Amino acid sequence: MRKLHIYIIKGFFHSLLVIVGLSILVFALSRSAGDPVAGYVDPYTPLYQIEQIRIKYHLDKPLYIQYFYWLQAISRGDFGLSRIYMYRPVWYTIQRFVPITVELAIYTLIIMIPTSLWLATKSVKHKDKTVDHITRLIAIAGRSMPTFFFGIIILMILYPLKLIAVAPVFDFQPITNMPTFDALLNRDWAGFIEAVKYLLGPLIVQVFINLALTMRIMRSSMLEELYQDYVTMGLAKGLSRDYLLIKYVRRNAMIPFITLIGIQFAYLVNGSVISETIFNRKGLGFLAARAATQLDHPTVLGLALVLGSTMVLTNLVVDILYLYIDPRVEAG
Amino acid sequence: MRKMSWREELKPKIKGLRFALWKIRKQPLGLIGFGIVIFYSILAIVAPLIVAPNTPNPLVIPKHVTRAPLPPSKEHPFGTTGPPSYADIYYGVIWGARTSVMISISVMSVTFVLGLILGVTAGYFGGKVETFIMRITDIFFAMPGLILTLVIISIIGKGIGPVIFALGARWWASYARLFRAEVIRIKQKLFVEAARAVGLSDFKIIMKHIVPNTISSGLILATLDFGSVVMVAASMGFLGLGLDPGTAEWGILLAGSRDWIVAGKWWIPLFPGLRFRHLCWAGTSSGTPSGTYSIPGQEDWWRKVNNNGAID
Repeated sequence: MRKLHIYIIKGFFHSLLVIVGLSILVFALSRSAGDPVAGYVDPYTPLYQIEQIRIKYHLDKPLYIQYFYWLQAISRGDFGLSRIYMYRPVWYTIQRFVPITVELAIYTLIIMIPTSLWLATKSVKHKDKTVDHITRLIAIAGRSMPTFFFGIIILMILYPLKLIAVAPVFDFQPITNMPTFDALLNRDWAGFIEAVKYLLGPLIVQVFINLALTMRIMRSSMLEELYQDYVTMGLAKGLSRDYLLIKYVRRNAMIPFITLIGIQFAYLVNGSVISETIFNRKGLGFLAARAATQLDHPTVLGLALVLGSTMVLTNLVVDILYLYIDPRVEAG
Repeated sequence: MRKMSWREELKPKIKGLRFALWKIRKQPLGLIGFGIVIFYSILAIVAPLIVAPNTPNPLVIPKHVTRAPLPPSKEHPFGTTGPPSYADIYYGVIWGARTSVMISISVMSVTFVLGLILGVTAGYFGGKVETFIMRITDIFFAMPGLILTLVIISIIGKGIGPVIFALGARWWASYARLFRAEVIRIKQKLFVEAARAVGLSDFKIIMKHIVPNTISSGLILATLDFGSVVMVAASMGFLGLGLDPGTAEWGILLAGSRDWIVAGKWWIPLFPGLRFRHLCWAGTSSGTPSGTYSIPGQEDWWRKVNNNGAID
């Protein structure tokens, strides 16, 4: 057990180091984009206050001292003001946009995990048969399909059929800020259908694009397991192929799959910039694209820091989970 | 010693080439992909012969101002996009190949060289240098790729140079990691130790022994990434963050016309999109033959196959 703890502590410090590096990178970028005081003022700030703000945020000091004050402000949640959203604080804006993206990520995983498990099992069972070839084609299509092209095609087909809502107005009480859950909590069925329509387009795109990877990884990991001794042993014992495949092979092949899902969840939460932009879904990806095109540096940099740190922490959690799921790692 | 004839001298090379051809025959998909990449590269070069370049800047699509997008016709083989970009899609597709291939090749060469230098330094010297370089790659890996590109472009501005820079910043880290891993693998081989025993300098060992042995896996990754770079560059164009609006680039062609596409003007996404999917797919699948051709040591395996007639 001790070895495990040392490993976890090491991983923790490593992540911390990466986050510090990330903050230095973001700081350097923020200071290379013109006068940094611009990130803390709005057009209605009187001129005499600008100098006060400059002193308040210690922007008159040398750069390396500025970095520590900047870090201090960040830890208070003070990233500056978001120009594209009426000069609200960046941190507030980011919080407003998170639920929409998380909702999409949750639904994507709910659909993607069973589908990829099912398709992978099918294609392993019928290796090099029609089913396998079809799934391979799906995977190739998913991997080489540019997101924006696929999204536009989906939009072109489903929008005239009134299956996609691009800018819905919800009149129910926001509780979690995730439209589908809110509609259910408010028992607003018309609103629920509208929320599903709002979700459908990016959901299809995300599932299709991500399915390719998870399915193929699961397939190859299952094929690897297939040549283990215990499978031969099971066959010799007289177990049926289906039973072996589902109860033994799939369970053992699950380990890399779980870590992959963890990392993909991080990517999904990081926002699918393109699909959210196409379907006008107001999530983190939409915010990032919008802020970048409008040259709203505080928002873009704040997002980069927050998302990067989430990514690092998710990777850490996945690594630790991996240790608990697969006890063999500890032994080795 | 008897002087070898050129035929004998070149024998191993010919065998290697025959191995590569055999391997390619076994994987027709990869060959097709490679062919498509070559096709688009040629298209990029001969674009002025196919469509007369626009003056003064040939990369800007000539405008055809109409109230609505025109369907494919004799004058506009792929149709036009209508307002607000008023682009001729045929011109955009043909010249877009040039933009995409140009961006992709520049990004690949920049990241390849940078990754090679940093990765080999980290892998060969180890210690503090390695830790430092690898922590920096960790930082770049921590940022989701598209966000990093967005951040950099929004700070340093639009245009072809910034796009190449931003994509390079996103990509170099994976090459550094790959080359480091390869160098660590090669470093343990006996011939490196022998070279050191003979008294070669570090620089000579790296240039003569380490780099030639590591470069092939980098080439495979580069061919695999060729399509991805095209894809990300076009995504940036689509978001309005890549090149200037009006440039012949496949993402930009689609960008302004979302409303027209929703209204059922199918030819706007079709032609750029098809071209695009083609090239991305080709890029991903062409990694295989270039890889099998350039991995040294696999010829031995082929010789074994050739002599024994069977793989064991």
